[in-house]
Amino acid sequence: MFHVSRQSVRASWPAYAGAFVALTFGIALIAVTATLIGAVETTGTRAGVSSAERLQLDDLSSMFGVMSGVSLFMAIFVVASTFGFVVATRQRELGLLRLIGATPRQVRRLLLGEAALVALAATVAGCLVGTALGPVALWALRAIGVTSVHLVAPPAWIAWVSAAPSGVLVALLGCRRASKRAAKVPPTAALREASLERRRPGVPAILTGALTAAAMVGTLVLAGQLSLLAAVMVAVFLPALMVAALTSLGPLVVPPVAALLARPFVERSVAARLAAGELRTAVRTTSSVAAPVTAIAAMAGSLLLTLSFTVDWSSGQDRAQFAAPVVVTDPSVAARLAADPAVGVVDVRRTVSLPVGDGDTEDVDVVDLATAAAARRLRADDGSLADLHGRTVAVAHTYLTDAGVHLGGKVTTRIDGKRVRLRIVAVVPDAPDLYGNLLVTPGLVTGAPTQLFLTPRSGVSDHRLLRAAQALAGGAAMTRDAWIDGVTADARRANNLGLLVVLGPAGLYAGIAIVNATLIGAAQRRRQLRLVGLLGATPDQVRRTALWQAGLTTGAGLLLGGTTAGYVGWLMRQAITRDLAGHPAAMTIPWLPLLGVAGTCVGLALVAALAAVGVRRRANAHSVA
Amino acid sequence: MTVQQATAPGSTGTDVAVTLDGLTRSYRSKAGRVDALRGITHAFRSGTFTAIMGPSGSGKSTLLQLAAGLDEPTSGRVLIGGIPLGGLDQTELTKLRRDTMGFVFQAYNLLDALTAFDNVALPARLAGQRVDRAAVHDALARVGLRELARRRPPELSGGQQQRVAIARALHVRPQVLFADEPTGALDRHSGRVVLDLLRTTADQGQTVVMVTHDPLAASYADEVLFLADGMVVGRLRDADAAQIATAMSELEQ
Repeated sequence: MFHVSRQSVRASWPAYAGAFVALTFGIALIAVTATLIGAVETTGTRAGVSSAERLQLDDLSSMFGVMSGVSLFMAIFVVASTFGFVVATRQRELGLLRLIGATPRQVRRLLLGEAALVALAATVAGCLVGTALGPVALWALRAIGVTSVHLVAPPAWIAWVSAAPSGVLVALLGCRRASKRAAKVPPTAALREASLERRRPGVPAILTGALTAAAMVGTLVLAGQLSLLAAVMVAVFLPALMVAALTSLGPLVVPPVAALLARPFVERSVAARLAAGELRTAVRTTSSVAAPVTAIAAMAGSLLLTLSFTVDWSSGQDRAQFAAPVVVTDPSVAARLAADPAVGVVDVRRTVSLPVGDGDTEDVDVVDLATAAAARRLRADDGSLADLHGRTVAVAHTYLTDAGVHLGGKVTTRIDGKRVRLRIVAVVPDAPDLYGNLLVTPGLVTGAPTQLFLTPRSGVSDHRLLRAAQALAGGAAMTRDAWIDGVTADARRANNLGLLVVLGPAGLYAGIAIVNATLIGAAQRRRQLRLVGLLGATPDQVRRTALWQAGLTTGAGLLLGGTTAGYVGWLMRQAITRDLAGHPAAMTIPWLPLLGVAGTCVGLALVAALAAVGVRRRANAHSVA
Repeated sequence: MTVQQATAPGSTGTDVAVTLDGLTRSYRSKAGRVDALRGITHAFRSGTFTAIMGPSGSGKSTLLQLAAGLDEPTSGRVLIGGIPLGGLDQTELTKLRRDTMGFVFQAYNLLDALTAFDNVALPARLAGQRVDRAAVHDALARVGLRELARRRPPELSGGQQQRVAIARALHVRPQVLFADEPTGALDRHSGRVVLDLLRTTADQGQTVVMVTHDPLAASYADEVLFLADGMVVGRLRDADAAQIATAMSELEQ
């Protein structure tokens, strides 16, 4: 059977070129990620790396972990869709094999053999590309400012050892379903004239669909009670589930959606009408092009909305808690401000980094209860701040759920090298930028001053207070709103950078998948389009049909992914509004990145469609000659 | 009147290659039940060439698929060389098909990825047999394609592709060769070459069952079965193309 595998791959390599490219990039991504994680490990254990740098490196490590997880997920599903494509377009050939005596097992082995060949080539290429790109990625992280630590690449074999098995695993997992489907092709498939594509889903697809539907209904019912943390969890897992369901049920879901999008144009343009017809018959092409679009739109969209809304939430919390109208970011002028007749209270924010629990470091706020109550509305929702002295701690609401502690429980830390257990005596509202998760009093530790929150003396206007503060601190003094806006902008910038690292490779991969599926699909329909040409379609009409088809398919993918992201965003919004309990919060929708993702998907599909038409025309010229 | 009434032949005997015994096949469709075959009994004797004719929708292709075990009858049974197909699972059926049957149909008979030689050798390879290179070349020589063994199907004409498919069937020497419109896509000359090959195959002891709508093609057969509405409505023996054409036009009225 391996002989036939080899001949098949050799004779129709363009179909496998897609699988090869997809797999190569997947393996290269894993190799790069392994290099990065290895670099963080190697560099982190060296002498001369400060604890702050080690903390930064640990953060980097977990960021790369997430990155490789996302990449691997994308890789499996793109490879699966590519191999599924290869099988679906060879129904007649597989049927012929069965007819002349191949058993279902032999057909399966044929497919696995082809996958093994492609995986072998892709593993070698991917490891080489990954090894070459590793140092570039390390340099890029420093260049774009993700880290200031000089990362040293580990030996290349570390990347190979982790990437090569991952590559084989991804190829086998990807091909598993496709080869099973291939084994089920009946011998009569060889006799069928038209290769009408099957759209009946299997049991696993139906189960995934049912699970996703249940999750949707469940979250919809619970939307009124979902805590913010639960909403974030939903935002992370629901899109992945949704993508899995839409991928396996794609042939059932995508064509009707695309047809719906086409409806307004069908009457007006013959190209649109042809494209709409193709969408319905070439079910697999349609769903294969739409799948990566849906995936990247759902995942990137959900993450963008979730992170943006989280920033809205923290700035909302900040505003709700903020009593001081003026902030000074230069703490050295505290004494002189206190002496100013316009100033009522100078609340100094002091923080100290303490190891908490099992080695995590937290910024702990050291608060003066009286000034903090005046400037930051510090109050206990539960327990009593009057008990906050000595070896006690007050915690913010979210910390209770995050760390799994409760009022009256203990938080373990180390102060001056000694293990100290702090009793939780109060639970305070969240205000992420005014104070952290943990608050202690000055008797326990001393903190470094970071900002000053000013309230006016009675009878003094906020404006006069600002002018007085500016006279002493210059540009370091600003209104509360200006300061929150600055903090929020910083947070968004950091989020965008993080997203770029996490979603960049996945997005690149989705792009490859879109181009790949478009090109394979076009190659499969070559005969059909030649017929359309014979019937009198001009080259321009053929080109426009291809563009319509790509546009409609991508549109359907974006609609499905966008709906998923929108639903997740709506859930987040519900949870945030409830958490802020009536305090108004801005709703910032990151239109630019969202539209950027959508535009890139459409652009790639259109370019690929045009390229496919070009290839086809050249091929036609050959066949005529 | 050249068309005789259908009679049930004695379907047992050692010289029978394929036995169809009271075959019916119905499908459920949106429009209701469709009876594709309504009770067919026939014995294809070894070393004979039988053509099956009939108007579109008469059940010709269904009959061929049931006879080859590619589809299951609603009732009735099929025996190949005395073995009933009903009790076999997919793998057993595949192995039986591999050992006893060959196929040639209108188009797309070959794997594009393989050379003519490899296409002919494939059934033996699938059966786990060592490939006898001389025998493969001999099979290609018998269809006049010895020189083109290294060509791939896209580099061959339609008639040449069909001859490779016949060489493949000849190479494993199956008891029965099923052909579905084998000349449908060929020009007259190529068609005649293919039909001569099928005739020779039958003369050398193999059984050929061919579905066709072309009276000229059917005239190469020893016997012609006429199907209409899922039943055998007539038979002709050793008829020429004109007689067959007359019978067909009577049927279509």
